[in-house]
Amino acid sequence: MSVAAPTVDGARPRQRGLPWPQRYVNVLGPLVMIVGLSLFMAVVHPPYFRISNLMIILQDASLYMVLAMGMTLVITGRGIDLSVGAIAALSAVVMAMLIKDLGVSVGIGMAAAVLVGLACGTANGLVITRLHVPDLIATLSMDLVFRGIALVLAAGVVLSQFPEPIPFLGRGRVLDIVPMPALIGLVVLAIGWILYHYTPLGRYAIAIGGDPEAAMLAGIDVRRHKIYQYMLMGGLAGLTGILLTGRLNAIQATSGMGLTLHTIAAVVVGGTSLFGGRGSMVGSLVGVLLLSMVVNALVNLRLDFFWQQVAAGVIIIASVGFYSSLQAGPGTLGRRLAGLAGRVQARA
Amino acid sequence: MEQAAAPLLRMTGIGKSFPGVKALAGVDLTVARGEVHALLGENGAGKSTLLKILAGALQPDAGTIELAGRPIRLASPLDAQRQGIVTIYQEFNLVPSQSIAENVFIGREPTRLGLIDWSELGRRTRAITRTVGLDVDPFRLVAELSVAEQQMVEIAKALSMDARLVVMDEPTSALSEAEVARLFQIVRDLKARGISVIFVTHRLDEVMQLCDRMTVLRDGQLAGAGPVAATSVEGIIRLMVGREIERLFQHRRRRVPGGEALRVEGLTRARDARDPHATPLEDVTLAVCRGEILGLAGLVGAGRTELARAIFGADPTAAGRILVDGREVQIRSPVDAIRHGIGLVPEDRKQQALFLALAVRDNIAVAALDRLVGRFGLVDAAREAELVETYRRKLAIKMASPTQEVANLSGGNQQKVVLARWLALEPKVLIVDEPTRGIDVAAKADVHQLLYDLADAGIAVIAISSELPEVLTISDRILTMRQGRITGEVSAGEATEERLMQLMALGELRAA
Repeated sequence: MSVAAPTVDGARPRQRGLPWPQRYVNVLGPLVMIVGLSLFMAVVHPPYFRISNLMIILQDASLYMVLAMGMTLVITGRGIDLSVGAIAALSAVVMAMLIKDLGVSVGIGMAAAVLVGLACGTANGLVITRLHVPDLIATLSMDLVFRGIALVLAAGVVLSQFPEPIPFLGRGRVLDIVPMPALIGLVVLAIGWILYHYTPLGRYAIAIGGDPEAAMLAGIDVRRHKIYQYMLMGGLAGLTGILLTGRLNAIQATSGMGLTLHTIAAVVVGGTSLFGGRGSMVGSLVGVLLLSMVVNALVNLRLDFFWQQVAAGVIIIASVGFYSSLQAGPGTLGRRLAGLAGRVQARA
Repeated sequence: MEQAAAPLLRMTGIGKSFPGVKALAGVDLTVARGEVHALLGENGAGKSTLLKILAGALQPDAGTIELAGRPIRLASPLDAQRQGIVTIYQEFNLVPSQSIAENVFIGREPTRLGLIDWSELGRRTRAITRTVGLDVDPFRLVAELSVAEQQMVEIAKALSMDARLVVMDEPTSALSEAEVARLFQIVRDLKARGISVIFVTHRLDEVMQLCDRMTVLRDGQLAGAGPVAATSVEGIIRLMVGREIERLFQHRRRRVPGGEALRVEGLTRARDARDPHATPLEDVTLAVCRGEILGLAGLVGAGRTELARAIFGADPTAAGRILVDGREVQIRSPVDAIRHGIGLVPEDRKQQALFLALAVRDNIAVAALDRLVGRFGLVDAAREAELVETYRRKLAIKMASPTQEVANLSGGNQQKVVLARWLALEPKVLIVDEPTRGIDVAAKADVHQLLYDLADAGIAVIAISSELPEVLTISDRILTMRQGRITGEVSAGEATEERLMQLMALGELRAA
């Protein structure tokens, strides 16, 4: 059984998954909404497009970008992590106390934040794979555990005034324009894209999410890879904790409450299937941007804060409804849009 | 108006196209009242499309359908059922967590004052299930029933809907011989009551035994139709494949096997509360040599699949030793098994082997990804493409491109994809569980030839098959199993179907 024969001449097999329209059709829905929202804002409130405002949107999106990378992988692997907000808070509190109370150097403090995140993620992975607790229940419970520990450590305390580079990482502007955390978020997502498509970590997550039994029988160490996925998620939540601390240059045990659900919403809007086996880092980026744009638009229109939640809910339903109509058959809105995209692509 | 002389069902000139594929063109199907009608054809011949049209799940592009002489339209599955056409799919449409009664009368429960009348429901259900030979408590959960009993529930459900035509898609594929005999009796009872049955199967001997007339499809077109009595198995195969049978199933050219590749000693698996349907294994000992194909025969539930999974580390074992190339190895998971050169092509291609939403490329390379990692921990795309191309050629897998979704391949090509995945790992021992289940005749011959080639290349092959002729064709040596034990060993030369059946069914321990 020797391996021989180069590929057929001239007919090189295409390397990168599906052709363009099918590969990115999951991004189509949120992209259409981004365009629609932009047109609407251009008419109603042109200052929305000032560079300064666009940078505020990026700044707001940055934490979700970091978290969305790990969440895309976890959800693709048929998991979900409801504890990321608590992990971020716990990591940040540990880092803050090390630096402020124990006088540890800022570098070690930041490393500790990431390590705490990794440890929390590992704990999640172990509970899920060794104790056979379903992902949702495990991380929901661990969310309470992590948040509880953070409160035990620093209940009612606000720790503030951290040395550089923490404030720079959280709210600095590169060249006085581009928010530093957004750059970090984009780099993290780019790394995530490579992990997702070009490493066993990502490809196994897709396989495990697609069919766990088949993955096991194909010789994939399903438990180990689930642990890896949650570890990566935890480490990224630790990094988020650093950025969260730097953003206001202050942290408390109750910080980062809304991070988790917002991240999951963005990832789902970006076309990653909650049933596993299918996902997209590019989609998650688009999802994160869409949600942040909507929130910012509502602020600009001086609508009540609570409307933001209504808007987020409507957007999730619209996006997921779009994918479902793609699967449902011909004649549905999603199919027609996808067909249109295919024709445009064919002409180009 | 119903016309007494008209056949129950007459489909004329049925055509159906999907983007890029003409699935059916000008197909006719006529079924008389009280007739058992075989619908035959290789995979991809258009049977499933025709069935879906008949079930109301697909609308034809062309053609007419008449029921008892009256033109009808089957707008939806519900519509088809209302008109008396009930389809029983291979994967049943039952709710496992509900009772037999609730499943039979789902959506049509008898009520009193708007509430479900449970005693009436139970009474009616029992009356109906009795007629199909299932005399059990109507409030037992479907999940607790065997596959054969679940099938009876499906048939009972069809009867409760006053079905005039029952369509059965591969009804015998998951049944044991005794259960098949029981099913045949039920089908004959339906026939006696004037109910027509369309019977889809790959097992041609069943057609000869049970069916009155047949319709054969090939490449989406009508290849032939007529009374079964006027033809033979060979004649049907000729219609299905359009070529002679002789060249198809070549017997294995025997070779002298090499040294022992795998030895299993005293393998035991206790009853598992988490998997109550699995047959416990008792003290199983076997050995297979390099270059040998060892056939494993047994009835459904004999423990063949459980044995394969235990050797492969997919299920926990209580006792036993496994030796590869004479050295004892610890196998606690498939990862361990693969490290020691053991591969398993599982029984259920779609549920256990394939990632249906993924590309052919991903499905072939998935187990080898760790070995394809190059710089920076990234998968080397060029080597991956080369691997896929190598095995595409070696196994003659028909596909549009490596990025085509594996779900769109025919059953035979899907099975080749699974085999390619394992060959890419260059195993010493390959266990294949029902390697040709549900694939067409030509692909089956390909798979047989492939197994011969593997054995000739020095791989030890363990082949599990429920089809005795297949076991007899491909094996060098055959072990029979019954109730989790090995009951006999027969060399290919002295094996006959009768001898094997005896060992499988009665468990006589003395190998003749």
